[in-house]
Amino acid sequence: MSGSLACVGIGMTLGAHICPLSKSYIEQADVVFSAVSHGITELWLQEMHPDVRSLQQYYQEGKNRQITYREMVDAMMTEVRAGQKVVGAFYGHPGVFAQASHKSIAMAKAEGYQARMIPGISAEDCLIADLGVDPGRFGCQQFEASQFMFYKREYDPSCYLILWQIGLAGDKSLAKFSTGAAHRQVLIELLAEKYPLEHQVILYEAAVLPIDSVREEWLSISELKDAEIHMHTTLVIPPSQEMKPNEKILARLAEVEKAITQQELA
Amino acid sequence: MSSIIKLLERMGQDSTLTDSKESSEKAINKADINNELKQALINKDVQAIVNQLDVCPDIYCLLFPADEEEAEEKPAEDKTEIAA
Repeated sequence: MSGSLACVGIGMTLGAHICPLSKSYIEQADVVFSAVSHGITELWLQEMHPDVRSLQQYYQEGKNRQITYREMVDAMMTEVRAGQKVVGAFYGHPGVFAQASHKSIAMAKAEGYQARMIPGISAEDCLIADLGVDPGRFGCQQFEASQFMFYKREYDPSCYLILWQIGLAGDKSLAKFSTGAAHRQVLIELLAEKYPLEHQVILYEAAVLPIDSVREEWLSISELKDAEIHMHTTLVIPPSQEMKPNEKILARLAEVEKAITQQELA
Repeated sequence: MSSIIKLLERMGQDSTLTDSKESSEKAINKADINNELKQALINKDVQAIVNQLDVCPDIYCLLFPADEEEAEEKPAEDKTEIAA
């Protein structure tokens, strides 16, 4: 079968993050579908390839995003089935919080087409660099904000907690482009189960254009309700507690070490 | 590639333009773009650039956990929750 699909990441910042392989896939494609975060980034892609089709057209306020993502998959797969070399160019990393790329790759493979994903520099990568957060230091958990609210997630206040898409927190319809203070108040109440309301958190926005400034705004959890929050704002909650030693496991490990030492001496 | 996009791409790739305001402004002033765009770039006025380039202003970048649809379709999940 001659059709193929590559979902590539173009990174977060125009020009700065795209890898040579992703750029090559875009340039060699028959058709490029774009899902990017800025109109100027779309222009940049259009100048890399003469046939760039924006997937933006499928988003519509009031329309369930599951339908939107199915339409995106259909658009890409129609061209793959027609024998085209198709590229899906996604902002950030094409596999992070992205249903259309994962589904289209799985579908293409199931139908016998060549399909692969090329990673990109994600919002998380930028966040780590911009905020100086090392996920290995205290550990790090991350959730999409609405999913974090809808399900009983186990989370640990002694590690970093990152909540993506808090501008849409609590949207059960999957059809809104933003939620407001009332929905956010519910998130605050949930967080208050484990964090003091005065705990300082960060609102983060990565640079999309090279002239953009990174947003790193510190505020208390209680101030989140009336904060200026956009579609692309991320909430970063630093640890509020110290890591608690697991005495039981430490004791077990000490026993293991002791047994090994005794075996070595014997 | 148009001069403004070429310049933005270069600004994203060249550390001297990222780190030095002077080098960045020099590159902007040398670029083959109109004065309004030059001023907008120097002022980091993204909206003015968007207006000048007539690009789509409403870009949506919504995330969606990849497995949420499947999770909702799994009856076993609900059973676990009920059992818990």
